[in-house]
Amino acid sequence: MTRAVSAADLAPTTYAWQIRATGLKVRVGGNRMAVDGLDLSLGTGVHGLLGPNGAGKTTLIRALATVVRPTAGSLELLGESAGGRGEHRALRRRIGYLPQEFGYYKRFTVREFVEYMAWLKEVPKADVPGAVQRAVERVGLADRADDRMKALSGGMVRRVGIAQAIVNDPAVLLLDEPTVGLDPAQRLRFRELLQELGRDTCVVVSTHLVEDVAAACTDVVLFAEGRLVFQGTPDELAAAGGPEHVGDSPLERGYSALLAGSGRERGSW
Amino acid sequence: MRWLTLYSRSRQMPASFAATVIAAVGMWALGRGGGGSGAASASGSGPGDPQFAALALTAGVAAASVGLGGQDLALDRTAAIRWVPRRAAHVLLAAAVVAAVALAVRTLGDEMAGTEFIVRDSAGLMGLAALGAAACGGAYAWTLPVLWTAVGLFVPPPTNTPTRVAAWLLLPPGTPTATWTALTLTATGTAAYALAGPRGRHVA
Repeated sequence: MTRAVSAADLAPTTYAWQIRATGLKVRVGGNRMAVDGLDLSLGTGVHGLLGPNGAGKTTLIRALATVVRPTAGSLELLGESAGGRGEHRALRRRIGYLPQEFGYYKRFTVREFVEYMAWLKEVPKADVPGAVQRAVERVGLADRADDRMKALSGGMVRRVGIAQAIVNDPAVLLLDEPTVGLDPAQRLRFRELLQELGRDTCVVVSTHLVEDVAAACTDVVLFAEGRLVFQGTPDELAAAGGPEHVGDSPLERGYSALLAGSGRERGSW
Repeated sequence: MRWLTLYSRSRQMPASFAATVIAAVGMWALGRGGGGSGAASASGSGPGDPQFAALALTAGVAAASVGLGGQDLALDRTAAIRWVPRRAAHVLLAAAVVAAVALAVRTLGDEMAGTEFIVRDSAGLMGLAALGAAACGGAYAWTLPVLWTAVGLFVPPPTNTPTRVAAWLLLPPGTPTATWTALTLTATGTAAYALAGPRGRHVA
């Protein structure tokens, strides 16, 4: 069997970073800047996006996924400007996105839903059945592939969400709180999948769970009130904290130290 | 054409179609029972009573408008496919189906309305629904056609252009103001929906 190699596979990479934001601002609702002057460069690997509630993580991911347009600043994805109007079709083919919550047609089977998403992502027709099967297998739902969506548990729906995000073999994969609703065993499996994906993909995972970051991320992005507080390896995050900081693990202590240091921790929670 | 099956199922078109058929048959039955020979000729629109026909088409369009919004706006919006022609085709095909159902029901006998009337009203109402979807989202797309129909039923007998525009969907076929209103609504609704898509909620 010959392996078909498309021109896109052979084309040299013309960008240094998969994601590059400069002075990025994204307005939400009336006049609140959820992302407020962010400079960030992300390459291949798994990037854990950490931050308190309301830090702007979801808005940032929505901007990266081209759901919302940036208000100001520049955003380059895979070397292409993602700021303007336009459909960005070539770019969107190469992005995978799992929203925090997503809607789906309840009578679809898992396979049909992932197939539908593959069509939305313009996966070549001949590759669709194979790509769908692969994606469903990777999230461990091969035995449930022909069950209807409405028959699935919350954790399974989450995994279907991950499957639809990876069905087009994206170069940039954006996962908003992917581990919510997963039990501990599934979470371990998911971390393995993340590490696997991170070898050739730029994966951005937003999470509240510091231990997810420790286990699966090559890079931590700490984000508070729309701005970058820290970017570095998990070890560097751990090194930032001392015994005097709040937390049960070195990473948690580093997290609280950096947030306290940035003067961005407000309220008793 | 596998994608077309998946797309129409995800947009709940089979259910919408069933609702359209039920509305058309129901209104036909009501129109036959209520609008006798005298009432029909009094409204002066040729065959049948235009109110029942207009109500049937409004109900059909309201049912069809459900499919204008997708299951997930963010996932739809980040799709790589060319949305603009697909959205336009969706609106125009929905109008065609609503009209076709009404025309088919008409063959049961007792003409409710003429072909021109049905085509004009389906197109204009579907344009309004598309405008509604672009302005308030797929779930509320039905509000505009339903509101306009309600207004149309209660305006006094049209004598000048504003009232003729308000009552466009009840006027006899061939009335220029009604035809132009319907055409304008179809064109602007289809264009607005095709370009902007269904309006979404804001998520923080």
